Amino acid sequence: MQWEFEVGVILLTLLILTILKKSNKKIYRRFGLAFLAVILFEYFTHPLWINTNLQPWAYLYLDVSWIITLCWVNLILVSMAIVEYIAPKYRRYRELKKFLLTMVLITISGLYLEWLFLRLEVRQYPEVIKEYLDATFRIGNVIPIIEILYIPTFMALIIGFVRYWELTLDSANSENKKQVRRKKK
Amino acid sequence: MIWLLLFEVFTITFTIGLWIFMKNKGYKNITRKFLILFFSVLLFEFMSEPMWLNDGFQKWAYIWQDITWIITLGWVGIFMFTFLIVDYTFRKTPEKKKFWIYLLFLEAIVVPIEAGLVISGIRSYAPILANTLSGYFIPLTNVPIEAVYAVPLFTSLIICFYKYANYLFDRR
Repeated sequence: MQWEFEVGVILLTLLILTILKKSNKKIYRRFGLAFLAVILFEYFTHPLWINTNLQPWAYLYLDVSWIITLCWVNLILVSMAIVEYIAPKYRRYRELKKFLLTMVLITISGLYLEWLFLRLEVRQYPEVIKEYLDATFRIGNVIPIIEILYIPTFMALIIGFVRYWELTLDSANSENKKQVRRKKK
Repeated sequence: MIWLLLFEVFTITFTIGLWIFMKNKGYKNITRKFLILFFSVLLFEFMSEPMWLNDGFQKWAYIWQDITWIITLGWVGIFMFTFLIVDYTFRKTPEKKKFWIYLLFLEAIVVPIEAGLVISGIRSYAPILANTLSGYFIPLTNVPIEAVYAVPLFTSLIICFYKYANYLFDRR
């Protein structure tokens, strides 16, 4: 594969950021947090995957690729934006429902993304992991159940990281504003 | 294996001790906090399970493949102890700064424990992980140098998930 996949992902990221900027003024902060969380996770679990057939400039360290990271980040940003768009309908348990709905969306779209990575041959599994997946129960004889569990597990940690920092930074900002107002008085 | 028995007894006693201490001190929703923390650690252990080998435990100690609830409980104890100490010592420090203190504190606790587990043979690294290590070790230990930056990587994800999950329950 040539450079089309990498350039396509970069352009798609720019497009998503441009569109989402209209509804979320802090989208760049969310993008940065999601990127950091996914890269932390990918770095930690990199022995479990092989990211291959990408341009040399697409790799950060060993086979950890920032292009693959961007794909996951895009998925997270879009899923969170969709849920936030429909969230005002929820009056009670708003944050909990948003989280659960985001997880459902990400799990479904994440399975497709993983399938796409495998089809494009940018993702492969080491032999040990293949044996591991083969040994587990498959839904409809196709999708290993372990993969259906992996994506929400991975994403629960990522969404937790993003939302924790968003809430912490927002509360720090509002605290700073209060202090400034008090000083002015 | 005497090391393993000592480890099991210490882990269970320490975590139950922490729970009782918090109960007596009037902390709120303690059981919920312990369960969320247990679940947070379990999520990460589930994801990274093929990379570690936890050997020698009794059959009843294993939850799934190499994951043992004894090690998970040990992590719960370490995290909760860290939260208690840091939250008490740095009461007035803003949350965003306290996060970095949690990481430093965890780093200082976890590296010696990991060294102890590796020496005692309880913990070892699967070939899939061992093949990617640089071969350098933390001085005076047999812990790979990679642990120095791997510990803050995974603990930061667990801390955030734990804090966020608690926030979700508090806001119900």
